[in-house]
Amino acid sequence: MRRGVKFDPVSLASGVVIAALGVLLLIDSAGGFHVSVGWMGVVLTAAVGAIFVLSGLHRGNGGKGP
Amino acid sequence: MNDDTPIMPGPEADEPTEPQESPTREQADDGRDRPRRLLRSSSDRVIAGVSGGLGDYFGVDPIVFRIGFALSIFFGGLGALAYLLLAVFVPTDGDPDATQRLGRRLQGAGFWRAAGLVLIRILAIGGLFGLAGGAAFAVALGWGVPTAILIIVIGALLALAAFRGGARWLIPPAIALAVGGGVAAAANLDFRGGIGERTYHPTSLASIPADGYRLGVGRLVVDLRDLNWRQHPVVNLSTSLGAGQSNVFVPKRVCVVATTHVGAGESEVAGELNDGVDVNHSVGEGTTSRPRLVLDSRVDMGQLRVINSDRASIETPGYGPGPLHTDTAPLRAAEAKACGAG
Amino acid sequence: MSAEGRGGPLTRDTRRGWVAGVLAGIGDRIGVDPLVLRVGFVIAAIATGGLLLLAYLIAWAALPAEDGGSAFVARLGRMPRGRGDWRVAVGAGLLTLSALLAFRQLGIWWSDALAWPLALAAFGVALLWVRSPRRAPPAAERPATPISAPPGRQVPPRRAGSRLAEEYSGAFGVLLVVGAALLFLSSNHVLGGIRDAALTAVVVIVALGLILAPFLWRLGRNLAAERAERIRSEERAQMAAHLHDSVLQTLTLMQKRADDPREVASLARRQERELRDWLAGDGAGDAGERTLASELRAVAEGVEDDHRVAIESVVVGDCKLDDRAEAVLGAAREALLNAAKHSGDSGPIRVYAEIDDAGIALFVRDRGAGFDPEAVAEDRRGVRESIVGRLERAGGHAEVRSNPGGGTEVAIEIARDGAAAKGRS
Repeated sequence: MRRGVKFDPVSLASGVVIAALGVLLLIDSAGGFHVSVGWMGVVLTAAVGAIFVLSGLHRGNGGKGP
Repeated sequence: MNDDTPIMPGPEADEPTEPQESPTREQADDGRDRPRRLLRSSSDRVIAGVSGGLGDYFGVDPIVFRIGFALSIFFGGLGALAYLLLAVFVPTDGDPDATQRLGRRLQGAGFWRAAGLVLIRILAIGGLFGLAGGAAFAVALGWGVPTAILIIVIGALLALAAFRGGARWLIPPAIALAVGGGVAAAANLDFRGGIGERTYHPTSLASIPADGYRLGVGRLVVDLRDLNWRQHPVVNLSTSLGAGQSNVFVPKRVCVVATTHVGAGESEVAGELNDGVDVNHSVGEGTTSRPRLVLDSRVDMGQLRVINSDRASIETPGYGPGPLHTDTAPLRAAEAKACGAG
Repeated sequence: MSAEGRGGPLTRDTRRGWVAGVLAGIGDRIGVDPLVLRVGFVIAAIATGGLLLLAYLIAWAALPAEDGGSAFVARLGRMPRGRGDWRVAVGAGLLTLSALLAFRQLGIWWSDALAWPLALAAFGVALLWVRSPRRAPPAAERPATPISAPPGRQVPPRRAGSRLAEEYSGAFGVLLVVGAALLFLSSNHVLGGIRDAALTAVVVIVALGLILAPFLWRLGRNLAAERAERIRSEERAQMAAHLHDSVLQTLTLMQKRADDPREVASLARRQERELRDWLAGDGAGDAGERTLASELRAVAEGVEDDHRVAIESVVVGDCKLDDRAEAVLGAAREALLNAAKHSGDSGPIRVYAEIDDAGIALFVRDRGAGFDPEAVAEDRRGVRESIVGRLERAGGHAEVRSNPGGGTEVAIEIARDGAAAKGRS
């Protein structure tokens, strides 16, 4: 069943990354283990950097406005 | 002039032929020649020819408009604004001058679009900061779990939307939320406990709460100088502040044994200034017999001070808001009171 | 392994290298056994606490492989560029930052005061390197505009304007972020601690700036050269357009009217005049000011065009158009009209005018059939009246001299200080 809409891998990858960040936050807030500032910095910069690189490499429609 | 003109003398033979009717001027009913559109005069100009052009268009002496514009300066200046707008956007009846060129450039589509883009970017960045700050506050106020769930949901929606063409516009807001919440969670920001300025003057040991004093965001001042130190020489206190400034005042002769934690900011206790990120500091030993304060204090973001002084208050320069004047010798002397052994 | 170096640019030797061929390539280049270099490298890496490893990684990324593959960084730089460019750069920067932070967490670190300024400086340098090559290709791709280009104006200026707007807004965005962060930090009295680290960073950046100064200066010079080239090509396009509109049209017209020599001569003369004016300085000159010289020239041009004659004028000096000058102008016009009508194809009509504060002297000579001043026809007498009479009414003096077969000369004189001109005999 072809819908005619393109699959956007950037959205998929970004969504997964963001969901993972959310899970990390959940574990930290609800007890579990506490993430220190240093490691949180590593994780956040890596996540945001990866999203930037992916969105830059895969130029396509649906980009954020200006 | 054509070849058939008779070569007859006469003054009218050499005058340039006047065009019968210029397309820009028309004969008004009163027979005078008035322009069809408003133009700035290129001949009758004091500054930009606006009054000249207006006078021409309405058939009135330009001096009327000149006086009007001049007077308007004294009455709020709107006339000056009108003059400026007219000078820029009304063309001249001669060659385009500098203001007309400026006006043409301003009317171009490119200028407004660029300005609009800049404005949109500013708003967007501000919005993102707001989102991040909001997430940080939410986590600091104890709603970490709901925030985390929200972020997970957004991530899942984004991933699902990938199969329907993508929803990349979700990415920046989601990142802002995740970063704000993540930093707040990692730094253990705790803004629970209210917002504002709280000053406590306990007069007896009994009135000091067992868990100590806490405040979420703002300024927390605990003044212990009214206690009866002679009767109870050892005072245990714990304070906790999320973001802001936390000051504890003790009398001059009281020494301090303190364990302090500052997430990001400064800590000045017993004459030692430590600043930076994740500042943990212990000072003093608890084995002396002098009157002493045993303090366990934390500030997540901001300043922490313990001040040994009989008369200082937060109004005193150096102790109140603003950077610590740590190079002032009297201040340091007043605060150098860590308990030693014996 | 030969003792002399290979020479040439530094490349990585991927065939003989153990990891990435950096040391092998260096050994190749300077003629030293790579094994020696490897031993030295290991010792130095331990001594510097691992800093040398970072240099190795940088070299890996920056140097091209010997077998012709381009360096990773260069390949990144040549990637097709679109709107996503800056994202890749920012993302790569963030990923590097993340790696650095991870090293820091794991304890593989130097010291905060040293490493962060270095990282900041490295990021800044990388930014410069990524941006500058982007400017070069557009200039090289634009070929020199051929003279025969159609009169189309160049479109880039508009795009350059919006690109400028993008850059300004981007820079502004960065400023905003930095400003907001600073404001937030200062309002929470957090800034004091960061002061020292910031000072270190500033010092390192200034030092790096001094080191990079020649590179930056060359960059600026390249930009200026590129801009000059752009201006040149724009001017070339303008000139091409003008030539197309004027000269080519005239030449076409002349070919069509080739059987009418007077028309052809007139067209050529008009085009020559226009081209001379344009070359002299397009449109320069005070449009509002009407002077005698400019009006004389206009009159001569008008007569030339209307009667298809050639007029050569020499005007020395100039003055404003007052009543006397107007009288001279009118008389000159009559004289020229007459010469145009009656001189035939006998050569150009010559006008010579001397204008100064003392007075105006103007002569119109033609080599036409001439006439006998005594046996003058009725209409001619009128002309003489219009010339001589006009001057005398204005306080000057005019004479029409002619003899059959010898051409005609009209002499006009007027004094400008009010005194009557002395008559010439």
